[in-house]
Amino acid sequence: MNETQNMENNIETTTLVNSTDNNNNNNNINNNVVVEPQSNTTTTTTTSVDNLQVGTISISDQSTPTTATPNQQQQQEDNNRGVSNETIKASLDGLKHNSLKTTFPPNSQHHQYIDVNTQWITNKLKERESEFTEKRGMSIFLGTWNVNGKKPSEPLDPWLKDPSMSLQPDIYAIGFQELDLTAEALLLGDTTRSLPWEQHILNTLQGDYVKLLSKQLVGILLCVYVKKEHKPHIANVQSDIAAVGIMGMMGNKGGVAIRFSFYNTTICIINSHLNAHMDNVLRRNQDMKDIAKNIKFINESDHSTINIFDHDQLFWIGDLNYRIPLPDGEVKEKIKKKDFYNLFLVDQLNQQMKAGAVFEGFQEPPISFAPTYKYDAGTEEYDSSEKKRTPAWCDRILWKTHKKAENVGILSYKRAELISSDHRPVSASFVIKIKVVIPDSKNRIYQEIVKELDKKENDSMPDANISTNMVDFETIKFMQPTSRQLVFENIGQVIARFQFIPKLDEAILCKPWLKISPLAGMMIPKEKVTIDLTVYVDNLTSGLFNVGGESMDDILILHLENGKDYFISISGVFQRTCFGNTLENLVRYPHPIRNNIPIPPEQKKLSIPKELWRIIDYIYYNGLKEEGLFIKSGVTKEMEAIRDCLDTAEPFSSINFSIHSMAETLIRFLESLVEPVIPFNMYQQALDASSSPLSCKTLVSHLPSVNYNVFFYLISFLIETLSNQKENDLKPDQLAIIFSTVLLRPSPQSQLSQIPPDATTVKKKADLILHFLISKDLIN
Amino acid sequence: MSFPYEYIFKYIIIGDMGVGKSCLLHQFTENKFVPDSPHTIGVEFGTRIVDVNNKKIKLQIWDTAGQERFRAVTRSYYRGAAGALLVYDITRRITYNHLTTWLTDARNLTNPNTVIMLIGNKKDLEGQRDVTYEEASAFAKQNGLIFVESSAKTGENVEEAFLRTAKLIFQSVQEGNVDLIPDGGITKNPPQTITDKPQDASKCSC
Repeated sequence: MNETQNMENNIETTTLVNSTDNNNNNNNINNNVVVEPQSNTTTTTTTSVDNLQVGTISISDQSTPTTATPNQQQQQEDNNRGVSNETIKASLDGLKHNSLKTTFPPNSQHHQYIDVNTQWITNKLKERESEFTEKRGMSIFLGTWNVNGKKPSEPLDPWLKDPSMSLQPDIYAIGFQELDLTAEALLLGDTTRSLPWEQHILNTLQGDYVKLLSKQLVGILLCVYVKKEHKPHIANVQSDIAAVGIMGMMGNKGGVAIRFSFYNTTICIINSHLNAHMDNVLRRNQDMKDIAKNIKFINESDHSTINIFDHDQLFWIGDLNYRIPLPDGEVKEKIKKKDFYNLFLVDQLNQQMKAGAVFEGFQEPPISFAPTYKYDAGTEEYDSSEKKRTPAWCDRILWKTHKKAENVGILSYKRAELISSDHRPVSASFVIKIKVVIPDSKNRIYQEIVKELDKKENDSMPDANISTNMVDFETIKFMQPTSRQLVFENIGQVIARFQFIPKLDEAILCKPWLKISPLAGMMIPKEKVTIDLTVYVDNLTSGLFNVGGESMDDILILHLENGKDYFISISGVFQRTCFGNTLENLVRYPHPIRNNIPIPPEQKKLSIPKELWRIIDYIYYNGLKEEGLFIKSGVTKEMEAIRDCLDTAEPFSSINFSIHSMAETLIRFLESLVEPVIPFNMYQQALDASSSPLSCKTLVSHLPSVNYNVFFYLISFLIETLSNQKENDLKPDQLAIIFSTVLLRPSPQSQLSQIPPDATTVKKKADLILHFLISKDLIN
Repeated sequence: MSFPYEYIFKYIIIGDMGVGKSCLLHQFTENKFVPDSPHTIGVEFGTRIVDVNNKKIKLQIWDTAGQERFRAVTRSYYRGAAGALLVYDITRRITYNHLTTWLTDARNLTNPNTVIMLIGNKKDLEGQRDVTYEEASAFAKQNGLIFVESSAKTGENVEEAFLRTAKLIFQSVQEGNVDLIPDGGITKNPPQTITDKPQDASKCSC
């Protein structure tokens, strides 16, 4: 600690005996020349580097305060420039602060990040403090002495040491006033006079104590010492000053304050020197209030401002300068008789406090000692000068306990017979119930609180209940939509937004045969949403099951925003059918397709699908003469029954249907083929060939054998149908248009399938079929 | 300036159905044991802030469904996990026998620095023990896993399992082995562009 350097340049000096942090050296130096904007009227120093948000304000330019980042180099230069300018700046701190009040809001009101979680935890911990602290009685010694500018010359033991006390105090807080009456001290901030006094105190206390902090404002010095064993349990040590002297702002009168956390108890001590003279009672009252108001500290947890009354224990010591308004002779007479009681009744401080005019809520131990002012220095005689100042209890020690804290116990309140000054030193000792943390308990309660917070956070996630995770569609038939409902209910405390999301590396939400509605939504608490799931296997998807052998299974992910994901299993059994199949596959089913498997490749295949044969055979025998054959519509239900018969090999005689349902079934069957009779890769060729019968013949001769068989069989049947033209009134071009649409289709993957075919294309397709219907020798 | 937490670590809990994955999660996040809790069908989600080396770390824990049929879907949640808790039931050997498959999945789908911890759960059912500590311990050693036996019912070793994993991840972060990228499952607070659930970011964009 380079105290000397600090003191040479400063009117207010903060020295820390906090060996843990070398940065404090620099902080102190910074404070020599800067005003921290976060403090309203005073300069605050803390032991925490984090809290030092240093800005500099130049006195020469008060109207436009400028802030600057802590620039060590610049400030070092400022220091080196010599004493005069900087120290005068500092000595006029009060003036600057006053001008700042109007231009600078306190730092705590600046917009800044506040860690509300930690704040919440800290508050909760504070609420439950009694559960993890035990109270231990510890003693604090407070001393105040107006030394009238004298240097130390006599042993301090009679003041600082009390042989009647069995134990040494745990804390010493010692305040001086008028340590330095020189003009240099007032104007230049020369504080070297505190050094011998501090040394003297340390010599008196001997090796058992360490200095926590000392703080000086001109002649007002406050030093705090603690027993070495307590040092690790002290935190948040901060100091502040408030000047209320000449012009209401200079440091010849005012107060210095030191606050700290002692274990889990917060303590604040103020040493003040209030205005003098018998008549200045109201001035003194105002001084006290100004000091109380202007001293500010920073709450280290949330950086908010705290004041002196925010502490468990607040002590106020000093030369308060209140007098006894009685004639000098009368006072001296009563002193001689030790009639302190009657003197105290008229004591100005006592009167003002009773009237509630000052030190509201403060208490003072009973006075049982003679007034401590004013003596002829070096003697035991009261003032014998011409002024004959009436003796008074100028030097006092008061305390105020926070309403949430336990009151102190008074151990002593007395004066000491040191004679070098015109005041006698006063001391008081108290027992404080210090809250000492039991680490295990604190840790346990901390964990409980954090857990509570985590639980709340987890509870505040959206939560929903789904009626089932398993949706079984059971038997699904071709072209027959089946729906199931899911009920999704918001059982959480907050709005739940949901949406179905794809599985990893998949672009689609679900299989193409499944439709979900709605895909996303929102529910307020307790609200329910019904989600419809529909399975529909059409021409496009039935191939997956009929040919691809896919089973009907899917898993959907229903995602709750900021919450969990629900998996929904979809299952069903698709009834294999000849619809939505391939010719190649169908000819490998000599047995009913629904419950059988295809024959192995090496076995002899059918020449055409037996289902096609059954349909055509039926129409051949029952409907060739039917008017409007292939033109009139079938009945859906009847066609479903026909499909069942085809898939199960049940005889058609078991069901009732019209010939038109069978005729449409033929068209639907051809239309449902995964690949049409004229394969996709021959589609364009077929259109190109349509103008020439010969080209058409060549094209058809290149069809795969099963396709060729089917084409041949079908054309033969249509020619036969047309031979009954008289009865059924069908024209070749009608049939050509109807059948060309299903025999010749573009691939569903091609762009052609997305747009309706134009008239030319329709004609080309029809022409191709028409050639075969009118020129019978094209196929043979 | 301090934040409520400095890092976010993503954990996944994996293992066969019924080994107690959700119970471990609830015990850890809420100090609560729910007997006969329903099977997780989907992915549940819990958070807790823990202290590791005086740093506050938010653990974001994804508890996955154990059923075989969801295996393909739950795999998508492995991505970006900083820690994986691989759980088996000490009273059902079959769940122990399946560890290799789970471990293969975890190794394939997470990054090489993902800390994998083996947890033998249901330690409270000592009388029905089917897998010895020594055997599982040897398996863990062979595969470079940390191992602990826990009881989600009594809470024994539950904290330890989660915290030891967090410590190892943090150590890895400090040694610079892990990049602070969202897909690494470790996020430094305040996150810049990272949503709470990485999945939202990757999935909703498509």
